[in-house]
Amino acid sequence: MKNVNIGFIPLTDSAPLIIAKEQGFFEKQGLNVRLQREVSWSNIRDKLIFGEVDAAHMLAPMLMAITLGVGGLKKHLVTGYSFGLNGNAVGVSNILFNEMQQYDPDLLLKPQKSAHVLKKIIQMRSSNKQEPLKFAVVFPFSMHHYLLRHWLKSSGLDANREVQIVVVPPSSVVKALEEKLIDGYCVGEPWSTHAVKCGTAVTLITGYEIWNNAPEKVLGVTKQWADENKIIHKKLIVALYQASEWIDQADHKEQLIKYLAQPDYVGAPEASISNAIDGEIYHPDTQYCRKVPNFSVPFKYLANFPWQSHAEWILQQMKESNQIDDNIDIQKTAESIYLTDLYRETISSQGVMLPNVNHKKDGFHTQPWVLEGVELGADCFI
Amino acid sequence: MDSAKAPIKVMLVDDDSARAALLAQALQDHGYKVVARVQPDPSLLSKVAKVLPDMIVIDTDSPDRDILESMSLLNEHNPMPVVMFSDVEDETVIQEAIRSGVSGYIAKGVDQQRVKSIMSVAIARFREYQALKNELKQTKCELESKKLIDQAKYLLMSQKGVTEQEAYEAMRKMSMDRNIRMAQVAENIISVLEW
Repeated sequence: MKNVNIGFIPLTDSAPLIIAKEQGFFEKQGLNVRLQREVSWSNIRDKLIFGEVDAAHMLAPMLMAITLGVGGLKKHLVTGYSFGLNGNAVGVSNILFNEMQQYDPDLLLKPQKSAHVLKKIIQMRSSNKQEPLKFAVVFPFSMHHYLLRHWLKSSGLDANREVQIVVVPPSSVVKALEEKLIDGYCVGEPWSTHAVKCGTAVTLITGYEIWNNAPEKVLGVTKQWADENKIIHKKLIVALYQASEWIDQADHKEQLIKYLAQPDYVGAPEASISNAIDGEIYHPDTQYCRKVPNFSVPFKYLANFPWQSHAEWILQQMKESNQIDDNIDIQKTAESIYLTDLYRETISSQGVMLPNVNHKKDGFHTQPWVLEGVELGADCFI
Repeated sequence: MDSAKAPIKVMLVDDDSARAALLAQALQDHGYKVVARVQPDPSLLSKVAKVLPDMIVIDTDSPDRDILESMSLLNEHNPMPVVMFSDVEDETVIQEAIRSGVSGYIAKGVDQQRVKSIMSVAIARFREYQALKNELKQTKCELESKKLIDQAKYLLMSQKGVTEQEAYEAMRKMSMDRNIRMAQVAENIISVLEW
């Protein structure tokens, strides 16, 4: 048995690691995996870079930031597996929601209108010389940040000027709302459901509704580790793929929730985890108001395929938010971080049919579609 | 004043105020100035903006550490500290810091030698404090075991009519035969005999 240490953050999308461990998928590959729970993305980064863990559950944009040395540390990271698609939501404080509702009483049921209503409030605040609204994201380099910006942009709002974006860890979002340090946020699960259930916030729109089937977390390793441990890396990818497939089966849901709810793993109430898995967008007054079927996609639509086109979109957002230099070669950088070929080689050898391309064009499909005989999800932006 | 000799303004962010107090004292003894001592919470960034430290020493047990990462994104007119590991060449210091649960953020231009020395003091204090806590935990555990063993001995003596020595020997034999701790043997005896 080969020992492998993997760091993770207690979020529902860490499920493939937990299931691969608990259901024996790692063991079947001859891997003795120790899961190391971490409290912050900064800790995960430091431990991966300095070899305290071999691999980690990471925000996809962290790999670009660290590889390019933005935010301090520089190390070439790579990934050959994606933890799934979607899973985030944008919410606002009750106070802001009440203001917004005065513009549209049915706002809860019209996520696509939410940014336009917000724009009216921001314009009013600006003419009253009030401070800009503050939105929290989980990390400077996160899909949460870029999805939030994209949502704001959809109504013509300029995220660099018209709002203030700050980092607040999801576990502190409720406190930050209560202390009026922030007006809104974009977070993942179980924290989005938690903020709403605490009665401190209302969900405006889900990540799926901002970009259908957006990338989210990936398994990050250093390039050096990947080069030196190619076989182990492939075995990790196979085990995680099998775990993702297991998670996708409806009759495993109850067992999955039980695993995730354990204090050593995600440690959230079973009901909240269940809401998150089912995409039930909860509202404190109405019990629950609407269901988003693809709220989180752990396996279908090639959810675990590390698309280089996803990496390119992320790098483009980093440029637009002035996080990286304009002259960075997006395509080359994406290729050097996203090991799409490694994933294809590894998973194809398990008898799974996969497309032969590393890119897909996003923003064109309003419905699921077929690429080289494989079903992919919708990929439209708001 | 020579800028290399100017005092470094250090801010401590620690969930454990006793540990922060110890570290502040130690840094002071080494000639460094701790300008603020705060607990990690969502208002951390505004506290940093108020104090404008040259260096932040933070415990890594709190998720609020990520708040400091947004400093690297704030505007350039006001150089804020960034995570220290990028500039420190000595990897052992970094690894020791990670293992001891402490990290640092430094502003541009702060003297590396002094940063390293502050980090070394912090690492030593964090370790010492952890050892102290472990020791306390162990003492508490030992006390509890002793209480359990005494209680089991008393139950054996009063219900089985054996002497204290015999009761103790019987428990020790059980512990060795089954390869379980004395406290566990005592717990088993209590659960049976108390009924």
